[in-house]
Amino acid sequence: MTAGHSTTRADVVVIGGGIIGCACAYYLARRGHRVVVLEREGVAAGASGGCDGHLAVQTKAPGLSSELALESVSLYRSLPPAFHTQAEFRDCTSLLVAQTDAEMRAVHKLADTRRNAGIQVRAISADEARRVEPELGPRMVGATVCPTEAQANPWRITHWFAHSALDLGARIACGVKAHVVEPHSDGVCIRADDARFIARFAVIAAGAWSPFLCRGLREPCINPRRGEILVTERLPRMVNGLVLSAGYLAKKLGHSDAQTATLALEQSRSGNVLIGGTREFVGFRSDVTPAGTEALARQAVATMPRLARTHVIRTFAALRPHTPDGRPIVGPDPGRPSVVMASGHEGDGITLAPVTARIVADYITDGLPVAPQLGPGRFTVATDHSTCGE
Amino acid sequence: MTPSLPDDDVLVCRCQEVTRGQIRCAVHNGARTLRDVKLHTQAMMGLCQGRTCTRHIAREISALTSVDEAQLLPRTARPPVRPVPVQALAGEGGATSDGGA
Repeated sequence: MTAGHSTTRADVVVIGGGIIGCACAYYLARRGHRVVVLEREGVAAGASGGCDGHLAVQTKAPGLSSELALESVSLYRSLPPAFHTQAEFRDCTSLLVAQTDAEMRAVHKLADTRRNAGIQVRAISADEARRVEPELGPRMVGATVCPTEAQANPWRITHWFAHSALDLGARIACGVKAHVVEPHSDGVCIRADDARFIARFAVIAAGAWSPFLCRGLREPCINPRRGEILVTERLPRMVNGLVLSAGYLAKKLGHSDAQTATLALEQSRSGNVLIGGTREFVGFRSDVTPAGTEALARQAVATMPRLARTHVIRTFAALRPHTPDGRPIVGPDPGRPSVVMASGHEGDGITLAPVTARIVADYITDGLPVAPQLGPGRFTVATDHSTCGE
Repeated sequence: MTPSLPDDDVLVCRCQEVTRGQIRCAVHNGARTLRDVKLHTQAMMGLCQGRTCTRHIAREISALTSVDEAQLLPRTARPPVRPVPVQALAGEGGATSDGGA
C-alpha cells in the first residue's frame, strides 16, 4: 500500500515455516513452482520444534484418517536416503498399553477396527508386550502392537524439507510476519510488515495462528491446544519404539478430562527419552506447568518404573492446532480458490506433513479436488469474505 | 571475520560436543537465533541445558551477523534448573512401587 514497500512475485506463497509449510514448499518446488515461504520467527520455531517424533498409524481412526496416515508414512519412506539419515527416520513398533481390564477391552475392540482398515494391529498379552518393550512395568495388563510404525526427529524433518526446498529454488524468508491475504488480479496479495507478495496461490500453514489469516472460517475451527513434554538425560536404549497409554485415544478424541495427560514415550537417536504429553485448552499460553509435569512424570513411572531414577533435563510446551472434528483443514477456501488451507493437524502434523503437501501440490498444480471431509468448506460461514486477515 | 577467536574445532557446547565450526556452519546456513542454532546443532540441549555455552554461542552469532548479543539471549527459561529425577517430579504418585494413578 505504502510507496517504497518491496513487492515480490512468486507462484505460491506459503505462510508458516513449520513442518506443514516446509513440506508444502518442498513438494511444490519439486513440481516446478516458484515458492516463497514467509515465516514469522524461524523454521520449526512453533509446534514443529516442540513435539515428539511419532509417525503413528495405529492411533488413527479407520477410514480417511488412517488412509492419510498410511500414505504419509509411505511418502516419508519414499524420500531420498539422505532424508532418512538426516531426519533420524527409522521404522519401529508401537504399543498401545492397557493398564486396566476396561482399557484392555477397549484396545481389543480398537485392534479389530484397525485391522479392518488395513492397519497391521493385533492385541497381545502383557508378556508378549514385554518382549517388545522389556522395561514395561507390572501394572500393564496387555497391549496392542503395530509393527509398521516409524519415528523421526520432527525439527530435523522440518529442516530437511526447508533445505531441500531451498535447493530446488524456493525462498524462505524468516522474521517476516504475514498480516493479510487479499485478492489480487493475479491471484492473491499477501501483506507482511514492510513488503508485499503477489502470487497465484497462498498456502496458509500457520498452525494455531492460521485463523488470523483466514477470517472466512467459522470459529472455533482451529484452537491452540497446549502440549507439554518432558525430556530425560541421554540414556542407554530403554524404549525400543513408541509406547502409548490406552488413555491416549480417548484423550485425543476428547472423551476424557481435558486436564489430564496421556502418556506417549519414545527415545530419540541421541538417547533422550521424550515423555509426552498433555492436551489443554489454555489460549495461546505455551508455558510448562507443575501439574502437567507431575502428571506426565507419574504416568511415566507407572508405565516404565525404571524411568523413576532417570533425570529430566528439560521440559517444553507448544501449541497444537486443534480442530473440532479431529481432522486437519486442507484444501482451497470455497469462496477463494487461490487461498489454500493446510493447518489444523493438532498432534498429527509430523505424521501428516507429506500427504498434506501432496494434496496441496496436486490441487495447485493440476487442480485436483480435495475430499470435502478435509476441505475448509466444513467450517466456512456463508458470507462474502473477499478480504481476510487482521 | 573474527580472527581473535579460537579455531573451528574447539568444543563450545561440551555436553553435546558441538564445535565452534558447527555453530558457524549453522549461522552460515541461516541460523539467526539461539533457537535456530539449537535446532541445527543440538548445542545447549545437553545435561547443563546451555548454562555454560549459551553466552559463547550468542557471541558467535553476534560476531557473524552483527545482531546485538543481548538481543539474542533467552527471555524465557524452561524448567528444571538442573536435572531432576522423574520420581521427584512425580510427587507422591511416583514415590512408591505402587506407582500411583
